[in-house]
Amino acid sequence: MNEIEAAELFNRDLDAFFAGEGRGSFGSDPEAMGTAAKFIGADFSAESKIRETLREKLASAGELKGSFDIKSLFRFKVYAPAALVAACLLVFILPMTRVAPPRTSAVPEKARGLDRAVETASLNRPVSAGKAVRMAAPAETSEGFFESIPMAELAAERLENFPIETSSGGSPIALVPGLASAGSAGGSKVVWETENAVFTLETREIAPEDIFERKTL
Amino acid sequence: MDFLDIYDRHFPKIYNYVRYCVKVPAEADDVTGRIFESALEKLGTYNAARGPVQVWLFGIARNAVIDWQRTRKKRGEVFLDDIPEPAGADPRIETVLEKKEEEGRLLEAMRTLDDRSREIMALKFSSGMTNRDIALMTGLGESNVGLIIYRAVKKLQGLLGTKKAYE
Repeated sequence: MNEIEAAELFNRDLDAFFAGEGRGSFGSDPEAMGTAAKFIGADFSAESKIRETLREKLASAGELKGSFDIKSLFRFKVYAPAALVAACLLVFILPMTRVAPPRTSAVPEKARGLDRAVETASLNRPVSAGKAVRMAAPAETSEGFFESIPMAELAAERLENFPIETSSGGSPIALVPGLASAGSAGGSKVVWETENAVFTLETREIAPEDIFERKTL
Repeated sequence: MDFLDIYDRHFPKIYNYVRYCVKVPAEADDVTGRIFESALEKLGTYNAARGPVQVWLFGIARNAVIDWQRTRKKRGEVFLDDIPEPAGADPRIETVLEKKEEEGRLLEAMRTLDDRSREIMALKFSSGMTNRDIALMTGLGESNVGLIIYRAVKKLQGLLGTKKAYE
């Protein structure tokens, strides 16, 4: 019989011993069972100095626990549904408890000052010829501190004349006669002329070398 | 479920288990107190479908003992009782307190085992739990638990020189 088999037999006998079956019928290993029986029969609890006091303490704690246990409120099983219900109630009740701020025409001085400043700035702004700018009507109601500031309506009439004035009175920008539209190498170009300069707008294919300088170390 | 019934029924078993693991009686009292306080606190979490009260209670006890050992190691505590007594201790005690001496021998023998064997032996002998329950509690295999118990008993047998003490 190897050790594993001996251990199996011994443990079977041991479980039978705990179950109170046939104390004297340990056929596998009586000496080992004798040792086990000594340990099983040993009772050290008599040397405990707290057995009775601990019992009283636990009894009073148990009574308190039975009446009201604040800790139990924080257990997850209780806490989670309670928190969910509280959150739902909050979501429904909060909008009902909101009180509208009192309707008042007395807009804070700071806001009114800003309002006036914007209005003045709008009026002082130079307006181009033929361009009609209409002011938006200020909001009739004003509630709370944050109030919409009236601003100019973004609308304009069609422009009749080019808005840039020139010293000579002629057209300020024109195509260069003869060069207005000419072909360039690999593309085309348009040449514009103003009173002070000539500009070329061209399209053509270029190579990277036309833009970048290649350096070799 | 009346907690005091549980306490009365299981106090000796729990105390014995703790005593096998904790050498100083005062410390054993302290740890046992913590176990039952914790059990009272967690009584609502006990689920009878998952096992008998004893297994649940010994699970709490095991954790408490492990916590105690960890704390003690962290502090680097060494009790005077831990220092082995020199040979030839006071002979009067041996003659007067035979029972005490026998219990002391059992405890001393138990402390010669390694931590794992001692823990399993303490669980087995204090609670009488099946090897399967102990295996579930400790995370070991059932047959491994049986083998550890058998080897430990054989070692203790050699130390104590027991001969058919049950007879």
